[in-house]
Amino acid sequence: MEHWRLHVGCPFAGSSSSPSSLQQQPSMNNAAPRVAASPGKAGAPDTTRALDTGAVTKRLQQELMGLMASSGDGVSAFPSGDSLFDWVGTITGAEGTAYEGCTFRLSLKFTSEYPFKAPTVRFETACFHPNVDTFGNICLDILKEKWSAAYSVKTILQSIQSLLADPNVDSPLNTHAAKLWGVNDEEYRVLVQRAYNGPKAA
Amino acid sequence: MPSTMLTPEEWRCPLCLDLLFKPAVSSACGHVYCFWCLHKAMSPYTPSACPVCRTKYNQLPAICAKLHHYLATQFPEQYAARRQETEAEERDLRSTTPEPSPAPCPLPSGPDAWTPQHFACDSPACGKLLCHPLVLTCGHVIDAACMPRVGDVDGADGHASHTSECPACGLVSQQPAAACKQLGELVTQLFPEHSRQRLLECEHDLAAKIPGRQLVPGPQAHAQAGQQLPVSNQASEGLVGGSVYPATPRASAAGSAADGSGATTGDEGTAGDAAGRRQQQQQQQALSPSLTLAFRRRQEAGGASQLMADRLEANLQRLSGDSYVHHAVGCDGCGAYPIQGRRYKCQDCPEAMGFDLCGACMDRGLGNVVGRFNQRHLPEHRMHLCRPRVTAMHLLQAANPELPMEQLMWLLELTLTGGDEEAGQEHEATQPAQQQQQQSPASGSSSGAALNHSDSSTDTAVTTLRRGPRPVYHATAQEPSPSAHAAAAGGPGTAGGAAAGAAAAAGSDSVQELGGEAQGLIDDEEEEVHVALADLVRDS
Repeated sequence: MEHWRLHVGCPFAGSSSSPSSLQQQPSMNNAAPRVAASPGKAGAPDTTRALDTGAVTKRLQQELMGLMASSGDGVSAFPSGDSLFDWVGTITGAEGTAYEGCTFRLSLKFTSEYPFKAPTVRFETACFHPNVDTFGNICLDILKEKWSAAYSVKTILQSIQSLLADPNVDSPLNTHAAKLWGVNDEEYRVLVQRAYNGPKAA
Repeated sequence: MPSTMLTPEEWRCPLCLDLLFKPAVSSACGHVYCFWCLHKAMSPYTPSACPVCRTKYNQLPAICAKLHHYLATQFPEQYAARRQETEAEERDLRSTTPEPSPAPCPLPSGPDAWTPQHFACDSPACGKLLCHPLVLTCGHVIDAACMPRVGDVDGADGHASHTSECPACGLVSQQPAAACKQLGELVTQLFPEHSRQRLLECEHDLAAKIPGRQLVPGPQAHAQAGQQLPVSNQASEGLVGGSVYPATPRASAAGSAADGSGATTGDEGTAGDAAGRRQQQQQQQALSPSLTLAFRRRQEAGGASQLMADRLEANLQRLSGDSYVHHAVGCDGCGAYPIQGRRYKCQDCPEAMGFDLCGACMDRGLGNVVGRFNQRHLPEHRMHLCRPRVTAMHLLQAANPELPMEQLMWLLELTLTGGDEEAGQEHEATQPAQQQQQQSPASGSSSGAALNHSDSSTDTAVTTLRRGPRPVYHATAQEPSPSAHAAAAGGPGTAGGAAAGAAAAAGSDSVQELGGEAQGLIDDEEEEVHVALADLVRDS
């Protein structure tokens, strides 16, 4: 069995003898659902067919139902518009942390490869944190190479919630926050609040 | 009394969150998934990790017939609905999965009418009720007590290729199986009395089989107390707990692969020159002429680029040696995925995905095995040995021997998706990138030097790769994100995108601009290799 089409984003055919396929890779059209790249092998099927999005929709619906049934852990999420592929999540800062009392909004964007590929998750509310940059990008291993298909929206949000309380200062996106963390709690708290309340409150 | 294992809630696939359909059990850890879900979750490049527990497994298991029949009979309507869904999906994927073999004894007419025969060990010598059910990669369920010496490989040689052979079909699993807790629990709930007896028997058998093995008091103690305790934790840990099995050494892991190839050459070549000759032959086989030419040209150039070319070439040789990994190709015999080492491909199977066997299965003469995806393979079909071919992923591996495969895949992903927003421009983008590349090796060789290409703002390739916040998977062009993050374009927070750029096409100057943040990702030396890689890719 040779299954390139299941692994989207691999333009490197097993049979292509030279790596020149790097340049021949089909341009990825982002408007359409993600499609498998050509396996470049004679007699291979036309794999430009979209992967079935039905399964993804179904899984997201299941997750939505689960989230609605068990709300109240300080995390919630809901599709932001008509599309089931864009969600808005909220996280409340855990008690006893600098983020206590803050409610953060996050955007989650799913692809047609979900859950085999992680969604793109970003803070929409400004968040002063060692692992969150000024654009809201989050540095969290489970959203990248440590992603597992068994994770869900809920586990993602819970992970980010615990990341707030327990940052990884060894790989900071916000070096200022990383330096302050655990050193100057007072200033850290002030900066968290200042970022949260917006520049006008500064 | 309520039996939880008799409700569909207990039989949800952790991936699709729906009722399991054609269940397959990751035998190394015993977690159950739909066959398709498990296959989709596998990595095409490296041994996969169980989505639930991250236990490494490298064989795609066949469908477990016992569980399949149980689910189909216990939850007929839901299972039929799942069948319909999955078959529609299979039509899209243009592959089908085989129907599991019929149950050895007639299935009950309705739910909840199970007898111990339906949950008997598949071993021809046993046939008794399961108590430590091991679901092997072939889909057979064998009781732990019936497995030939499962669980005692703790020798000095931890890396010994410990295999376990299925008593029913003889298929060899590369990893020892772990008990499937769900199935064990089900059996205990269905037949509490019977399974209590069997537990005692099995413990006895196992203790006799494995010297020094301690009896596991857990399950019996509870069972004797009249409680309905599943086989679960204690029992399965008792089975596998004593010995920790190392995951199959990953072909991509630089160190071990180097050791491996070193060892093989050492074994075969008595004299150094013999090994050298062999390596040369291998090289001629492995690397394509254009690639070899590219290396020669680099090597002639001298200086830093020579070093880079040497290093890359050596790494590539290693990757294309005996332990070459055929990415995304799986063995239809034992399910090994991806195939490492020899790979035989059927020349006559009409299916698009083809029929492949690994070296071991070929040697065992698996002529008429049913493929994992219903391929119509016949014993008289011609199989031919596939040569190792260097793909861009191998190049990426060779250029970054120190990075784990997960990170390489992430890099690759970024490379491919980083430019999403300008998908249409990708073609034009390659041109300027190439021009830039030609300058890079020279200026890049003095590592700290300022690579002042940043003023070439027309360089679409760089902008493409630098654009957008970093883990852009599928930025939807139709619905541009209204957030302020759009402003991130070209900003300094895009380390990942730039790393990918450096890895594949754009290279040096994006790194330069990133300053401190990207330093963790790319150091100067690596950057040079990236440039060389891009160069090579282009040259060939």
